[in-house]
Amino acid sequence: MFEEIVNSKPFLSRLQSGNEKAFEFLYEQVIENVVPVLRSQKFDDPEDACHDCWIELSESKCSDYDPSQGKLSSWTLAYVLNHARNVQKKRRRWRETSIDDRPDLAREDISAEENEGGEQEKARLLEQGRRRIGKRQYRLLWLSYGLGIKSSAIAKQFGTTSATIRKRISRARQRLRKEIERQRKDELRRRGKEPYGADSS
Amino acid sequence: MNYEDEVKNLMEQIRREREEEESLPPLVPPAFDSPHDLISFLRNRPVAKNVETTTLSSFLRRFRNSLGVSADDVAKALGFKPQDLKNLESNDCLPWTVSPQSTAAILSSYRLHVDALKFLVHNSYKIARVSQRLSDSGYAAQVMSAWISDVCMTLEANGEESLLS
Repeated sequence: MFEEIVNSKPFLSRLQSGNEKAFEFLYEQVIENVVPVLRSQKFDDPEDACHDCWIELSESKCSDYDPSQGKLSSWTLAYVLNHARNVQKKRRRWRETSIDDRPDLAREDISAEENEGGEQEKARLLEQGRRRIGKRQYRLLWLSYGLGIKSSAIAKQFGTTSATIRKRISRARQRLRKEIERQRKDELRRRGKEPYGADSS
Repeated sequence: MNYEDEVKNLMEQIRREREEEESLPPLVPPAFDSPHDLISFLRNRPVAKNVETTTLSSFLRRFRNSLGVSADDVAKALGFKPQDLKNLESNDCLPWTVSPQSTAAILSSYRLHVDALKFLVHNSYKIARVSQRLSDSGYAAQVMSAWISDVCMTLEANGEESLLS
């Protein structure tokens, strides 16, 4: 039913002319057919993603759809999947902060292949950071890398200057790295492998 | 790439991302030390005038989740009824059924400009209308406009010019 009607030419021309009934039908079909797909992919709030997309589609009147590239139903599904994926990514930005852009957080003894995308390593770093560097410094790292807020905006929140915030963030990163380095050495000691150049005292 | 292939690729990417995510430790946002800490954090945020295309409920829920705080904690800290925030965050509740005073308090706390509110509420109206939750959409539109005016008046009375200008 979804395929038959939605992919028909008359339905598309009704959508592109902004016909309300056509958009109502599209909404019903998206909720009925796309929400279960999102749910099966374990997306949070699948209805929200469908609502957001339906609002965008009703405003653009599906003008981005190109019939030569395939069916309207597939395009709609791809549109919603992309949107839901982006929302989820934004939510996970804290863990997705690339340590490749932050050499002072990156470990030296890990190859590019081992740290593909930096996912495992940065997750470990940030988890340790949360436990070890204290709430204030963690808050700054969270604001800067987790929420992507510029140092000028953070400075405004804390009633100080951008330079001070940048310095504090840099200090937090240094401390985080030190803590991680210390933990790494402890781990090596535990395994009976004294790290090269380590202080034996 | 045609749309069918795009869907297949997306499903594969999503599956991979899901596997990666499941292998990571749980996401723990920083908790605020005290209600005062949360208030001062929120109060000093720049005013948000342009927001993503979504409904009011979804926007408020995503915003709060990004801070890692519960609806009860926010309501307690900011001094409004938890139920009002929960209603505004719920897809099942029409925003204009929540008291304008509570809504104005939430806008003040979240530093959300009234233009953003209008945009988000209008989107909520569109979804309520298309999902057949409005028995009389014309009347609902009138109630919504009156409610927005009440929220603006409350903000004005509270001296929140930066959210109105």
